[in-house]
Amino acid sequence: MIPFGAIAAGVLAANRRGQQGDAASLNVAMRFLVATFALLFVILAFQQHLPFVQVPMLVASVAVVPLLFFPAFTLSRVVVPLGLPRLAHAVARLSPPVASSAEMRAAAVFYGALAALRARSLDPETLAWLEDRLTHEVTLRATSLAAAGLLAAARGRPESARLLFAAVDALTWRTAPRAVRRVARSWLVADAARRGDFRLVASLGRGRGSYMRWPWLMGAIAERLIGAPRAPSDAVLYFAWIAAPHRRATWPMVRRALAAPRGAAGDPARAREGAGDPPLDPLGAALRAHAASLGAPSEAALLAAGRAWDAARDAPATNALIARRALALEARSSVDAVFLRLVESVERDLEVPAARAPAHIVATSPTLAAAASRARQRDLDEIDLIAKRLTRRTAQKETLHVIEEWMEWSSLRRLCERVLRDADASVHRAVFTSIFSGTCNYAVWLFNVRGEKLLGNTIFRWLLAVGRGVADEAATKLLTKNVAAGHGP
Amino acid sequence: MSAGGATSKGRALAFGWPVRLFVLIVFAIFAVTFIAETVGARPGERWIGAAIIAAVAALVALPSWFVLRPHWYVDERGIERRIPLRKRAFLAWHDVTSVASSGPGFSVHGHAGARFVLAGGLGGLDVFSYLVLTHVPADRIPGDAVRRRLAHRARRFRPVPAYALAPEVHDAAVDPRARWRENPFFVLGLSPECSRVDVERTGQKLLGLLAIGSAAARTYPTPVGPGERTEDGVRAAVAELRDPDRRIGHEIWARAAAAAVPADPRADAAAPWAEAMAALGWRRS
Repeated sequence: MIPFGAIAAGVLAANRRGQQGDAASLNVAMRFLVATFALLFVILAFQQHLPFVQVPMLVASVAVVPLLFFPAFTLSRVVVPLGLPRLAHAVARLSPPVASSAEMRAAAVFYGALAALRARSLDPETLAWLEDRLTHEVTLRATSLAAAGLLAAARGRPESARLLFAAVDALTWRTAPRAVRRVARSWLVADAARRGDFRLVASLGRGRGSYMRWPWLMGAIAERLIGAPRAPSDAVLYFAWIAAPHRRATWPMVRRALAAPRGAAGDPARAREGAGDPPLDPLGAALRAHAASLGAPSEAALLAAGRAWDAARDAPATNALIARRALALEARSSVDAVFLRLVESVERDLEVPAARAPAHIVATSPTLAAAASRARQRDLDEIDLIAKRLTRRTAQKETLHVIEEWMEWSSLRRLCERVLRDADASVHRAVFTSIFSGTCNYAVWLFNVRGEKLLGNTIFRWLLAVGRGVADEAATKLLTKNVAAGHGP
Repeated sequence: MSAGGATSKGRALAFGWPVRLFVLIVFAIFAVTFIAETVGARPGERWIGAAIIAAVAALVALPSWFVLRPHWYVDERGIERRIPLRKRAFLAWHDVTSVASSGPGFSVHGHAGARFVLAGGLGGLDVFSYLVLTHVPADRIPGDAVRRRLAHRARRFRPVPAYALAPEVHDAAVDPRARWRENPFFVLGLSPECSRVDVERTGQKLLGLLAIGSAAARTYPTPVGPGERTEDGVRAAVAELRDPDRRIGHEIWARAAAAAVPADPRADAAAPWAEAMAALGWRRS
């Protein structure tokens, strides 16, 4: 006798658990339910000696079993590489990975977008279709953010993708599936490598706790390229390369890293030697070094540019050239005014690379120091602006879509971390004081009123880490209590 | 505010997981009954094979039902019904004559007898309710009860993000190479020592070439890579060089053209890795 009552009770219990947030157990339960019935059909077909049923059953089983029991693996290794977004979406919708059970629709969009990034040709309608599917997801958490990031990347919006992936990368392993975090970090690493920001590559690949093979390899390569003090040896590089995926594509970078001597690439002394003989025309040399540092940004090129501009600023020939041209063109501006404009534009150009460069390199050149100072001041102004905006929005209950809320938070966090890197305790305290009140209230509003518990919790955690750094006991106590409130289902 | 998402199709109204779970349970009960009956059968009985085929057909029919059932889409313009192999039916919000309750769901009536019945289990009724409340005239929603039900549904509605359509957010750090690319001397392809007459003459010549669609005139070299020449860019460049105070600054930067050799990224160990995304198998990013 079949226990209908028990089965019905079991399904309803699974359903109740699903409603309470344990979506993964419901996902697994459904898989076993389907697998059990499929197995019974196969056994029955064999028991009854029915070859016209057995063969299709076996073929179907071979196709279905991997998808049923290894959905994430099958999706990422078999379906996504085909580069068919709608198929990937359909398969992921049919058999969502267990880790993304809480966001099944978003998981389908995530794999669809991954396939879109691999597609040979892609029409914008497919992206719009995937975005439309994403809007059906009610609870937006890690998988939704990563899916939105992938769609932004596919649409050619790297800055939006950067902010969204940075938000995912900052989540704890409990709140973001590993596959999602791996994609987010791999994208961030590849993006930083594409821009030549190898300090960020090293920081992402080797400095964030959890081990991910490809980002770790790239981090190791980056450390060799920037000449980090603890750069890995050749043997470690080889080992990391063998262990990582995408071996053939990454081999040129491994060779580049092997060619770079350990702990020497970013050495200012070495860069000074590489600057060559004193140039005959300081302004021409400075312009040449400047163009080279912008064309292929690296610490050595940046230092060479900084030093060349230091020399050009002090050289009488520069003023003489400006005076000569001003006379020839009958310019109304004085030589000093033209020279100041030139210096200002040089510093503006070097702001970004100077802000990324290590403090000990920047300190060796007045031009670089001024550029880094400008960058820091600009970041501080922007932090202040965002903090005020969050305060105003909290007070006026002015809401953005949750993805935009994540992007705004990610933007503030990135600015703060950029300013706080290599900064002394007073800067840490000043930044924390300026953002704590507004950001904490904003997070409380998100958590209590809007139900965005994961975002609220993420903000609390970050504030707590910064608060502990500046030893603000009252704030730490409050934030510890807020963090303990959890991050939702 | 965009309520229908980025597509022209709008927001789909689809059954949520409770309904799907219910259908699955019903199917499971039938399957269990079927197995209970067939396990005890003697081998070789003909009806067993037919029964298995019927069961597999039922397994196929279940997802097919989800595919072949009517699908509804709503956006700011109206509501659309799609049924495979049938003509689509669209009802604009301004053509709606009344909106009424229909069991746990809603029915929408329009001109020429159009009538859409939306089941209560459909996901996306929050968006539908929001759109009805904002686009259908109040006198066409008879009764406070219907209005309250719509408002109750719409409370969960969250506006679809405009991030996909909004301009790209930028880091405050600007691209320093942009200024080099836009240097008037590079745009016009002139040397810093050229005369004012040269500037005017070259400007006119380039405008003429661009007007006839000359491909060679579309790009120009700079020390930080090629730039794209446009008619507006040429006009702006000529205007910049007419002012001696501005020209002198551009002259200094343009001197880099003769001095600077375009950097070979492979020559520098820490040069950007342009193929980084392709290494991950991502063709577009």
